[in-house]
Amino acid sequence: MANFSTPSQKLQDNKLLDPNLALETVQTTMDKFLSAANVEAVYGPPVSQGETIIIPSAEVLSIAGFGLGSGSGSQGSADPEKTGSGGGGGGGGRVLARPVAAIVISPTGVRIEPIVDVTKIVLAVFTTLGFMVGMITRMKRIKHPKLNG
Amino acid sequence: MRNSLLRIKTLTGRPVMVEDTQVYVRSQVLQVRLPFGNGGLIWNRPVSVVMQTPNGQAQILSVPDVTRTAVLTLLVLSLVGTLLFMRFRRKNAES
Repeated sequence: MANFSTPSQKLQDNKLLDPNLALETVQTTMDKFLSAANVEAVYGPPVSQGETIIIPSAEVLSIAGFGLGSGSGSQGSADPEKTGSGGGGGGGGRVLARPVAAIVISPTGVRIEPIVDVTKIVLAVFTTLGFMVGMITRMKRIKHPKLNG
Repeated sequence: MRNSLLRIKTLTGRPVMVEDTQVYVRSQVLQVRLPFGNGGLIWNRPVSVVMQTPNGQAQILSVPDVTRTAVLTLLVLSLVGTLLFMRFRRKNAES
């Protein structure tokens, strides 16, 4: 059978099989994940506008998880040609951020301007109303037996 | 992160100088490590701003999260409303 893989594909395949590269990828991912635990992740760089300095702030939620595994086996013989081993790993994660407030520092003092996410609040109102209407409708359907003694 | 499954800590940022006053920002981090495998959760949120004057006086301003407060208030109101309705209906059924 003809081998259609080009030298660049072979190089790519070797890169994918390289355990050091896999570890490096995991390390980079973990570093990015842990960077969410810094103050710099929550507060942005101060922005100067005339005599006023504004510091934006946000809430950051970072979730990550990964796993690695390896194993080996043989076909019941001690022949080293009939033994094999393999390994693999995978992971994933997500970073969510939401603006919370802006800190305004002016010569007159420091004040905090909250950032209101109206869309989120309206969605919460509709969800709450839906939940309440659903619960009330279900309760109305249930007939309570009268306790006449 | 490596030893305990749950950790809460308060972090302080670098000060911003405004005339003679130093302004510090503070955030609170909740770190949760998965008991199995690798990974976890990091929740970082702004908590307060500290203003320190040259004579040592410190003023702390908390950073309010209006959106979260509104959503939580709605959740509590809906639960209380549903419970009150259940109680009212049960009383009506008994009488």
